[in-house]
Amino acid sequence: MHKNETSDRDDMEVQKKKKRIVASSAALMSIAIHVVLILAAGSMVALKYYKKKSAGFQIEEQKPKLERRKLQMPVKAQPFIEQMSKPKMQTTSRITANAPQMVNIPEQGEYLKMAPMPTFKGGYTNFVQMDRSLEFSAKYRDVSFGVSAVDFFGTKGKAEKIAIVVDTSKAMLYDERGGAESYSMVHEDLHEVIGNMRSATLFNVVLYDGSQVALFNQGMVPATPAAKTNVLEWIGGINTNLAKVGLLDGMANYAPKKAYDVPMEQRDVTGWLKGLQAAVELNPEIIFLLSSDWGNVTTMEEGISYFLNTSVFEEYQQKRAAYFLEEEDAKEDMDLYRAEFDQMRAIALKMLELENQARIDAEMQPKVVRDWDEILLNNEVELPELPLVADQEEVGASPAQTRYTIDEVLETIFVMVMDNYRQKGFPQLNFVMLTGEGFSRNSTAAASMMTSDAKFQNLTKMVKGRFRYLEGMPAVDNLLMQDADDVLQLIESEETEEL
Amino acid sequence: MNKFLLLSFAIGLMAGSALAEDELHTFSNSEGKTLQDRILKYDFKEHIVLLEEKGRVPLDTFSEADQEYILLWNQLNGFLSTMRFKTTLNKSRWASLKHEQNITPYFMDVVQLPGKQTPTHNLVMIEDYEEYNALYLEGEGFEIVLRNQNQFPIENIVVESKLFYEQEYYVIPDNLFNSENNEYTDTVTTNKVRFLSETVPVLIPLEEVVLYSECAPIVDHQIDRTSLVSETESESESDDEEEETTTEIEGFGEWSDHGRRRKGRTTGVWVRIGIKGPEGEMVWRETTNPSTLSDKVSWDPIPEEPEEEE
Repeated sequence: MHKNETSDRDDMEVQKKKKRIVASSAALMSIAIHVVLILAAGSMVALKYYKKKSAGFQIEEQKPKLERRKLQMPVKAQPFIEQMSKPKMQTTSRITANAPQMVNIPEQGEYLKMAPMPTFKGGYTNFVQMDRSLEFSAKYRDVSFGVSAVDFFGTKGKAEKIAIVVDTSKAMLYDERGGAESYSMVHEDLHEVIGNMRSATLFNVVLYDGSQVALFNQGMVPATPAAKTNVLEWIGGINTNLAKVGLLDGMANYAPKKAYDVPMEQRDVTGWLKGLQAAVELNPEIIFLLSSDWGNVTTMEEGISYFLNTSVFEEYQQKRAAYFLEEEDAKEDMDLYRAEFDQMRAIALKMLELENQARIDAEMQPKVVRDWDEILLNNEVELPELPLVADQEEVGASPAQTRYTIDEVLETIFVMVMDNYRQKGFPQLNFVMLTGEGFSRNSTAAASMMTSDAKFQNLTKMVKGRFRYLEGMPAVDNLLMQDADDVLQLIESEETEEL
Repeated sequence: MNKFLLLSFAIGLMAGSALAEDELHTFSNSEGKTLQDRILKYDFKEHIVLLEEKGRVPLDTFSEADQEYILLWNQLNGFLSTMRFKTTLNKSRWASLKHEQNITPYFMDVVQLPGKQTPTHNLVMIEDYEEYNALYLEGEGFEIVLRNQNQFPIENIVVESKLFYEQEYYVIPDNLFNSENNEYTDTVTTNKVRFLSETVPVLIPLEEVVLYSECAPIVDHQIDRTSLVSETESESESDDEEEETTTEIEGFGEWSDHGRRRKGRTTGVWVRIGIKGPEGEMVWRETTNPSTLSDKVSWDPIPEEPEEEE
């Protein structure tokens, strides 16, 4: 039994051993299998890893993508008003590529922030530094932005607020400047310039004739199709029929907004200068100006042009007349001159009458003259020379004081502009001067800055604007060649007939 | 700028202390009960008034008129604080133009003859001579920066500025024959003031606005005839074989003597910034640039001149 028991035990032990062996071999198997699996998986990972590595170079190439994170860096917090003053170029260029510096548009989100803001008017906040009222309203009007490119007789500019100042005086219609035909060029160009303006551009047209100035509108108006039609209609009748030259009755509607502290008296501010004054009071960014002459007095032969100081001129005339009455020799000279002058005047008026009759017969427009003596020059009749004062000091006044110097005019312009623009500085000023075909400069007078073109050129140079000549149509020639003696005879025969 | 800040600070302090020393105010509540007290502080967010005697009292306890008084008191308090309501003046040049030219002078007589629309002229070029003519124009002005650092808006701010500048003028405007006399170079200086008043409807917390003074147009004009004299020998002199040269024009004297110049300059700006106080009066803060401006000029025109005439 015991043996049996022991044998049984042995059996059990053997079985246990077997079991252990079986169990340990199974464990080994499983370990082996796992090792194999791990190795296999590891090699796959390694393979995958190596495969990935080859693609890794491409990832490295994408490095710039990492730099984009810089955008997420904290932005310096600024009150939105300051931000608005420096809008991002991106937004601006998306809306208009014309002149990004002209349009400062706040970013999209800023409109929401703006909404609860009080509405500011005038120029006291920094965010209306450039008067952005237009951009804001333009945004809501859903139209193209207001920057228009303008080419006014070769003077070019881009702006949102444009003023055009045009001469309508008779000086635009002189024969040597091409008469009415040249003025039709002005009409055509205005049609084109105004017609091409964007509807969000604010514009105005200022017409002047001597001391009279007419504004299309008292303020700037958007260049809507209706406004364009109205302004062209408004200008349409000007200088088309030369029987009525200059501004039409009731058109002049401008009075200066304030008294300017300038070297020129307000009543002496005439012509383009008064037109410019009306324009600068509207605060446009760019002003185009078309003129025939510089001043309200332009000498016929030399083309010297200046603004007359009326009160000094009147005083000087009195003193000069008194001098010629007192001085015996001077009086004689002057009387002789006056007698010749009166005769010449009669001849000139007759010549003009005959010339105009001939033009009417030929279905032409009448001749527009500076003064009656122009026709004498046309017919090569010399006028007597004005006797000079022998001793100017005896007169007690100098003729130089009767006209404003170019410096005084420049100062006047400067004060007028700065009074209206202040911190905005100077607007762009462009000048166009109408000349006849083949216009020749008087070099001696121009060298002394006395002619219109020399003065305009100096002014434009000073204000960094542009100056162009507008060469008009060919000069209108007189139909009649007249002889002074023949005309005098005609006058005398007419007088005897009347008697 | 530092001096200016100091000055404005001093003015602010003075105004502030004036406010603190106010007499007792009689407050009434919505039921008509009254009490005499002095406001120490107003909490704009919580709408609670801190009174000297009574302590913390909610704003809506007071009558409508007193509520308005408290709000105006608070606004004034914030306005008078130089730390919480900042003003700065910066001088700037808004435009600068220059015109220079060498020109040949000329004499031109002019007469208005009867029967003519335009005057008749007789021109004589003085061709042997030249003059250098220069004109410098500068537009100067001041930037007035207001910044509200209070927690509450400040309303109806009146900003008045007086820009002081001086400008020289020639006694004789443009006169060739008078240039023989000393008067030709004489100038007279004129003091000028340009006033501007603007109202800022509201300045919200942390808002900054920039206003501008009027512009001072400064003129610097110069005629120089010394460097450009072209010395000419008269025929008679060359006949006599004399090397003498002359720069004298008959009737006009020595040409090179006829130079002249006039200038101008900006003196400074005096700015008054004011709001309505609780009693309905205007309370002003004054600042100047430069800080010494008040030594030279006064805000109100001095009415001495008519007395002298009498």
